[in-house]
Amino acid sequence: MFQIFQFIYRNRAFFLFITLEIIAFWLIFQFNNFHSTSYFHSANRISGSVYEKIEGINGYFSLDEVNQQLVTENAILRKKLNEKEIELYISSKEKNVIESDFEVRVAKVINISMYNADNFITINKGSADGITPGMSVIGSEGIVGVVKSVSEHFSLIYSILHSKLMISCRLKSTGDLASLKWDGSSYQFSKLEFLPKHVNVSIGDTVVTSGFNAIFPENMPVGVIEDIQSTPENLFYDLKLKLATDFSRLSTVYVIEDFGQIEVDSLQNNLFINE
Amino acid sequence: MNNRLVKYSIIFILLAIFQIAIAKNLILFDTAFAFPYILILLILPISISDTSALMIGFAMGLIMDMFYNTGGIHTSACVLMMYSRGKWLNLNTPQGGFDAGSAPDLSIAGVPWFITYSIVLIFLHHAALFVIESFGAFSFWMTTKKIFLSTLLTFFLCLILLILFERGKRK
Repeated sequence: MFQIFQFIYRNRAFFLFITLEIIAFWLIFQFNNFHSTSYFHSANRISGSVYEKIEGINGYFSLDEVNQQLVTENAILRKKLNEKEIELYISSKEKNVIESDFEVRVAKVINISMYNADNFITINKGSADGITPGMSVIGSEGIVGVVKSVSEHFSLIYSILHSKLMISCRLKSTGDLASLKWDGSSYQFSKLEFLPKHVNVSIGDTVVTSGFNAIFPENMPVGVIEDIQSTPENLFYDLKLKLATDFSRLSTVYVIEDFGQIEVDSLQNNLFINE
Repeated sequence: MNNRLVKYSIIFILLAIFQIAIAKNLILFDTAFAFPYILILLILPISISDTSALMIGFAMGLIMDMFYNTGGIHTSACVLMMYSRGKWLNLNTPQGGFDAGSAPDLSIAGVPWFITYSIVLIFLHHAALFVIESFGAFSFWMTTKKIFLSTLLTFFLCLILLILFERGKRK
């Protein structure tokens, strides 16, 4: 028995090495678990506040660009508002009540990665502001990601540039369904999978969210088709998509809470239980 | 001894901040990444025990994983590098051995010795990092390109930082 301890003590560096490697790999698997509640990421209290300070300095360098972006967005929203007002006028004549199903919260991006195999975004709003895991996140140009976990004042977001995130989309022109999946090549492009070959698709077609995903609301812009490949042995097209969101300039995001989604989810759950 | 502990702690914290605030955003050609934080792991004193070297590598890796959102990838790469460091130093002992209390930096045997010592360890760290990260997802050539270019970039940054440190020491 004593000899065993002596052996371990003599090779303590090796055993410590093995132990630490096991801990490290356990952390990797723990973090990759989609529903993990690990607090060991850039949205915890320490790293979140560090990133917020850094962003506080870096933010000044991009003020001009952000300003430009907001002005453009304002113009688009104003146009939409005009259309909506006409709609409202018509519907008020028909005595229909329009209720909003969404709650939108504005947040600032304090950390973003684009070049890893799996990318994440940290924002400066957390559970104190009503954000919960599973909410969808969009930018002014298109979809951005899904909330992974929250701390009191920060949230960690799965960027759509993540190998394990699949988003249900459809072609705006024909309405055919497909899935968005990032292949890790560039932050500007992504892959669109499972679009059947009988569909007429052409370069420049717009792709939007389908709303079947239980994450994003319907008709959020995803991207534009950039390249079409079709091999005879495949049942589906090989499509390259230019993402609507430019992650290199992303500074403000909107976190969307969909009240209708909870109802849909619980309805579907009830269905399964009753079966 | 105590003085040295303070000095290395300050370098540890400064390099961690430098990594998170500046080097994290330094990406060349979309493939070359810079991880100069491993400089502190390279220049720890030679006399330091294997177990404490491993623990320091582990701590630095954990901090980087927290800020990079990589789970434990940096941790495993750092621990692997620190375990190999002791063995690599034994193989690379200059004639007459190391002086007591010296650190493996430019002062031991100049730039050529430091290049052979550091570039192998940096390569090992980066190889572990990118291979674990791309596990089954990326092409072989892309990962290889990332490893080689990042090794070069990190090495040059480490060399520049080290020269700056030395100059600061002399003043």
